[in-house]
Amino acid sequence: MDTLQLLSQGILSAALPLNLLYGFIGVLLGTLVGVLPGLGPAGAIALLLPLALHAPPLAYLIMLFGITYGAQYGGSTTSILVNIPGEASSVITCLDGYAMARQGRAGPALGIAAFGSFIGGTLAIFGVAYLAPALAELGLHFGPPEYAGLMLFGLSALVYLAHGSMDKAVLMALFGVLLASVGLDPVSGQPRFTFGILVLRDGVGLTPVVIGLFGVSEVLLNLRAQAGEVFQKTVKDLLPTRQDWKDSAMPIARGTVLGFLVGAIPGLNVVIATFAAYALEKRLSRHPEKFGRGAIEGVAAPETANNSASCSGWIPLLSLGLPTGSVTSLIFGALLIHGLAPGPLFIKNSPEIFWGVLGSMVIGNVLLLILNLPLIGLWIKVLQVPYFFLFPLILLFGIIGAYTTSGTTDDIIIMTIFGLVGYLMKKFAYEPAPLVLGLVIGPLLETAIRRSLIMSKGSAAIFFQRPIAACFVGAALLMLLSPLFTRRRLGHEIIEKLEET
Amino acid sequence: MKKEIIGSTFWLLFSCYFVVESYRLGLNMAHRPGPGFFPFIATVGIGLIAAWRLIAHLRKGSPDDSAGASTRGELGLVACVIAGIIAYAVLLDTLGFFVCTFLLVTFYLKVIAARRWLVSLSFAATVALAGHLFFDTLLKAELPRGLLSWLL
Repeated sequence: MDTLQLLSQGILSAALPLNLLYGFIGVLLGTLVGVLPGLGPAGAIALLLPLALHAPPLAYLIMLFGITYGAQYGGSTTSILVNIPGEASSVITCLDGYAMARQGRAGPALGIAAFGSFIGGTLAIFGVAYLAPALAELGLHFGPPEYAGLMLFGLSALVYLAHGSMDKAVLMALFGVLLASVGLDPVSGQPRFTFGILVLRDGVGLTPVVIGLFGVSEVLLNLRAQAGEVFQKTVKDLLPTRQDWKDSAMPIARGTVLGFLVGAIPGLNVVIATFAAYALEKRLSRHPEKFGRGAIEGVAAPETANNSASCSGWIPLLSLGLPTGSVTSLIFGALLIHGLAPGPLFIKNSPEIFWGVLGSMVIGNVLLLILNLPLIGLWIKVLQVPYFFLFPLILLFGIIGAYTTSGTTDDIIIMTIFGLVGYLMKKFAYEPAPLVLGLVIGPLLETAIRRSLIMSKGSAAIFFQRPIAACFVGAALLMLLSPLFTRRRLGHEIIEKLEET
Repeated sequence: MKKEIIGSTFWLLFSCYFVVESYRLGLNMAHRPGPGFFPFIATVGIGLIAAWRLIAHLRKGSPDDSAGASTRGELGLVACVIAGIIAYAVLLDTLGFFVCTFLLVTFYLKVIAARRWLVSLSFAATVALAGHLFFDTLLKAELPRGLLSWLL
């Protein structure tokens, strides 16, 4: 069966009433968390992880994926109307989006952001549909050394492109790996670092850790947050004019391609795609001086690129089982909860899930386009809800989420501890994403390395003798060691700009 | 002391403890790695990075990194939120979801947000009831009913 037929079947499967309902809830929740500064898609997915125990796998995954790309749509709304990015991937949209709103052109800015997101997101899905199965075929030839190399590469790529200090990111990744080793040793069954606490024999649960790191810590950091001040409270003329379309057509096309390419490379995330798309348009423009002063191209390109990149960002996870950030790590965890093993065999063993999720993304993008523009008024009202009404609800969701995972209050305590850890990490400028990735892939990495060493009778040369493993390990070492010699990292200007913004 | 020095010292001590614990678990070396082998490598890595950062900061003298530091008022709010969740966890099995949620939300709105009693109590009651109906009745999350098990 060819790719288009499989994708059509996926769309039909995603259109079944239950899947459609979960998809609708996902994109709505995604837009909501995108609109609300302080709670991102990672936090929302973390809060919803325990639901995996009750919901059917496909419907549940459709909802989680809906949250991720729905958040990209929602993030642009706050950037344009309030000059506060709901998501990091919408930071650059503030520059021209808010300037357009101040000129009374919030409608076309929101409109082109929604249309650009729709076009970029939908075209990227087709790219994923063709590329992911091909990569998965390649992954079928992987043995333990190749897997170990691949995971080291993914982890290194994430820390290489981390905001701020790279050594802090490595430290967090190692801390995550150490946390993952708590519990029974996968080979000998010997307890490790359990300190006689019964609940730790099963290891540190992913769910309470991520709810703490992304949900509780965000609440602790935002306790004094005020409701957003909306510049333009009524938005008219959401449909862009013919001139707007003419100005935005090429930026949308370029944003789609650039976003797709950047998103598909492990470590190069959605934020980098938006900055790269913006920089490209400014460089190609005949009127670069208009950028930052309300140029519609400055909204169209990054908003298209972020949706395109957020779709192609699934390729490493769905084809090779490689999570590349906190959100993909959480989805990786959700797949494991459902007994679905992410990896090269995932598409072959669970085609209904893979194609169903891709099909749901096509439907989800249509839903978002239909929903978002008429619901702008609602999102403006949401922005004005005082935070003191929101934070008890976020905490309550977290508490229930942690409790229902195991049915014991121990996980609420673990969640609280990691909430405090996440708060301190932000204060001391440590990033949580490498920690989560280390925690998720730690057991897999440990098993792969130990198996490789058993295969080679203890020789680490096995990682350099097999060509694919050698490529991954070599690239990982290059990323980790190159800043010692060059003192610069690829894309460091983007990272610096992001931090400044 | 500067934040960087506090952070690096913490990680250095942390790694020292876990290096010893990993060693005790058994390294069995590379030909057949034991249960302590992998955590040993991770903690040695943490220790080396922490030591390197600490030495670098002590040598060149850290710039003032007090930006973003927590104020006393903020720490008080954080402590209240944490204390609320811990109390919730301790009392959940005894008092049940409904009562605990009502008390927690009332506490947060009254103490942290400084809302009026009427607003705090009515919002807390609404959240507790909606939470019970949604999670317990609709999603069958089997939350403890505690004191009100005769009623709910």
